[in-house]
Amino acid sequence: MKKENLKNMNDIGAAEALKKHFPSAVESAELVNHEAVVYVRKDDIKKVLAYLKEKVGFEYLFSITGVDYPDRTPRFDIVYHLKTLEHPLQLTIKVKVEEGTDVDSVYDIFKSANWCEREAYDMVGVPFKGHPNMTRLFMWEGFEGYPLRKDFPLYTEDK
Amino acid sequence: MPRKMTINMGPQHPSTHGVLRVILELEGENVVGSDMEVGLLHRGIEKLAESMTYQQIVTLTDRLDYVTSMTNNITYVMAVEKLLGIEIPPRGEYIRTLIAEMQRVVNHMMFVGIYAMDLGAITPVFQTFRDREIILDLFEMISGARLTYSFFRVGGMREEIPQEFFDKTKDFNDKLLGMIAEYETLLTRNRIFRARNIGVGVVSKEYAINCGLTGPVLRASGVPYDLRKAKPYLMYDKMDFEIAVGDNGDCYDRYLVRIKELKESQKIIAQCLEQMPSGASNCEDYKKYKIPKPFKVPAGEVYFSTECPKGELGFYIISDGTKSPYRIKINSPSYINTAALSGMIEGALIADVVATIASLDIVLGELDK
Repeated sequence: MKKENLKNMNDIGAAEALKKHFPSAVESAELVNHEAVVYVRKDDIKKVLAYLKEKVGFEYLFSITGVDYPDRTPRFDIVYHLKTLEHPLQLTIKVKVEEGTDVDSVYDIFKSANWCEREAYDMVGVPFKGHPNMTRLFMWEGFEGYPLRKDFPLYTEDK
Repeated sequence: MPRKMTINMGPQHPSTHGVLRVILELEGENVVGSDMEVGLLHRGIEKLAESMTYQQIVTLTDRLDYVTSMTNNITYVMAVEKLLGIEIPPRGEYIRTLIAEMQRVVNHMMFVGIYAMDLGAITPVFQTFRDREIILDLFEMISGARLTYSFFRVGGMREEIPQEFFDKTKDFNDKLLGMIAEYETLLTRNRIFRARNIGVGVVSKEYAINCGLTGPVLRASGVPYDLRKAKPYLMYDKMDFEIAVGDNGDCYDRYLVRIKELKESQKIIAQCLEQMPSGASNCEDYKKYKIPKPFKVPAGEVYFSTECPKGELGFYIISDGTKSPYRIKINSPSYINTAALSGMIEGALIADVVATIASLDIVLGELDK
């Protein structure tokens, strides 16, 4: 996967090239409704994102999302959205995380991960290992529960 | 050796544009460290959306960045349309382009006025609010509301737009350059304004990209990235306009970029009005998507973003095939720009912190979601 080749690539082409480069770290690369979705093994996420930034030019990380699938093991998806500024290419990188475990923080690669990781922790409760300030972002200190988990109630009865 | 002092700015401070709390660590007048507290306006829009139907969520997007509700509506409905695989006719797309640019004019006018007010100049805010009112009246004509429009719906728009709207928009657009010139005579070469701005809050190109900064803040740092050109949507590939780019990445450049964008928007509005085709503006089977009947969206996921006045607003929607989304993530420009504030104000004076926050043009409704 080379920087020069990006010009002639589309999203899914870039995702497949990534899979070719990391045959063991990348679990799958497929097209879901026009989005190139790549599943990466949890332990390799930092390695893959660092490679994408330094060697390929996916230098712009703009969103980290936590998604809860209560009926699935591992329970959570952490979704990273990356793009290049030179070409109209975008990758959706996903990591599966089990409840009670953590993911490596990518803060030392992308500064934009600072608040994004804190928000993901705040909303679905997946901690990021190595983040300098792993505290809640929107909810207050001492708040119980994680609002965007599916088992968090939308309304509660007044006591 | 001066004593270190920690002071609190906000959440009621008028120049934090809402309820942003900044905790500043000072040595004399110099900021040596800072921290931020957000979430005071958190309404849980992402959680609420999971229990509403797709068409109802349009009303929630109004409350994100309440200054630019139209572009929020457009971005959201286009994301859902992409998931549904429906296309709207050219007239509908032209109308969306036209209104998105009018909304950009509203936003940048408000920016110029409030930015000048934060720096101590009171006059420009009266002029920009006076002129912004003309567009708000036009939006009121088509949607019935002044700020929370909910005008665009999945599959099209709420109502057909009357011819009077286009005529009045044309009148306004013909005068727009004169209005911008008026603001510029007060600010652009004003010695005090320049002294407060040039070299203040400098953001380097590398820092801007690494922090994921977006919109005019990114472009002022010399990165010519604009989604309207990079990934053309709506009718932007047929429009003739330029991307405004700055050189130094300071507050003054961020102001200039927005003034340039105002002028470019004027060009786009003129082209939209000129090329406006006739015919239908909603998709063919719009009846299927009309309120109150909910509709199902096929399972899958989509990320769609547009260049809103403040930067890239994106919706990441995961659908499980039912009437409400499984998960919505809102990626808002104010959020990503404010996250980088700490690095911009380090070493600055307190007065420059005010200028820097104002130059980011943030709205807390969008930041806190």
